[in-house]
Amino acid sequence: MAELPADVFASCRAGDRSAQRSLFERCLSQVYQLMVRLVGVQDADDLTQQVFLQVFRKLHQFAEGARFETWLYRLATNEALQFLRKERRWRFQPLLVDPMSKKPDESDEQDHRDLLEQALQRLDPVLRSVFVLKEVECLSYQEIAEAMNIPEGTVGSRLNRARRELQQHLTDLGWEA
Amino acid sequence: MNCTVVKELLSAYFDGELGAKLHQQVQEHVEDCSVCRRELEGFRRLAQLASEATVAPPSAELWQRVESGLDQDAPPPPALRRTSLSQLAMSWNTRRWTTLAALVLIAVTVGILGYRSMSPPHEHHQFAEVFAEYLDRFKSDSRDAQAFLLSKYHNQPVTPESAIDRVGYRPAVAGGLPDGYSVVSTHVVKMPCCTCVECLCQRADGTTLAIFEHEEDEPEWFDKRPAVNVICQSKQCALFELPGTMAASWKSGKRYVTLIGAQSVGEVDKLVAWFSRTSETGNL
Ligand SMILES: [Zn+2]
Repeated sequence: MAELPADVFASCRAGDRSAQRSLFERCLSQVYQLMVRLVGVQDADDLTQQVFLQVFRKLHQFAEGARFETWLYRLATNEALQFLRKERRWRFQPLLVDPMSKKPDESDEQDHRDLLEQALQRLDPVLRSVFVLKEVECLSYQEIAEAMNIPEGTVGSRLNRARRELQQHLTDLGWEA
Repeated sequence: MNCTVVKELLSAYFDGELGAKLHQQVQEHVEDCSVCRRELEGFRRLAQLASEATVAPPSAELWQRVESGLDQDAPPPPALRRTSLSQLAMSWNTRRWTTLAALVLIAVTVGILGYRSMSPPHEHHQFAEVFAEYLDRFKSDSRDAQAFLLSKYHNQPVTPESAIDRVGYRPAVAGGLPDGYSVVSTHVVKMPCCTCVECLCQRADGTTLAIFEHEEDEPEWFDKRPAVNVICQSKQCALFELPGTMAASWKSGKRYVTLIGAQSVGEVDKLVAWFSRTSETGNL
């Protein structure tokens, strides 16, 4: 994310719609991409909307001088995890489908997306978040620890687990790298 | 360095998070060990897959949706304060409204209650801030919100049944909850405004709702949030919008009931009916 003008937060807090919109546009693709990977494309719009509403509602809690991006990732990851905890019961069981029932897809790119999305959804939400923050959002371990409120020392071992399990799920889904 | 240690450090090595010395040692091991090398190669292919898989752009109306949510947050100017219930209700969360029937049932009168008439003493002012934060936090993590509120005031976890010793009445929740709800925890909380019984309940889908029973009407709980006054089950009931959810408060029997985290007006209506049946059968 490019540097934001210093007064953008004050303007957003004051309810300035154009400042809010520029902050929204600056962060939209990151937040949306994160949500697609964490909750799936079908709920990503709703969750992204929810995250931005929370951003503007809670902006007074953001300490100036801290990194906005870290605060944003924390808020967004938290929102996604809350959502997944609630939805998991009914949403995630039907996803454990027979891998053989998967239809062949039209293009390679489409194929990659579906495989990755399916494999990610089989992963525990916390491991999924760690993996996505690393591989999709390219955060450092320290930033991941801050975003997820976990000790920095546990990020590496969680990533080990996430990567091993993800490879297993991908293999089960017929992934040939 | 052996494989067990290297396996533990492999992600940190791959992501360049190790110090120079450890990095060097893992590198030397990986050069010699085909098992660890294969695992590392797997990490590499995974990273490539993640970087190749693209994400289609979000819906083009997303900003408009955010903006209309923000418009709902901002207190409207006094001249515009009369809103139709259906407009307000739809804006809360269109997807929550399973049927319009629930609205038709209760949308008898709509008005803004004249809350906030007196300037509250200092203690109450602080309390309003605490309660406001509790309400703001409720939707994203109700247990965390509850822990926050309980950290501010004297409280005692109780069974619904034993609350009677502390508040001098038998709370409605002591008789059990309506079908589809279960008790997570019940506390007697001594807040500056009153001592009340707070019951955190869970729906069948795991989402939560807090039920407060209190002896006085407590408009300062909702401070500056505009109320919409509706008639539910022939009772006047104040509805409040909260981030992502809603609250409701009404008089039931001799006491007041406040719900935090209601999903819909339909749910409020259902619970108002349940509480009034409970109070008729002598629980309240
Ligand atoms: Zn080895």
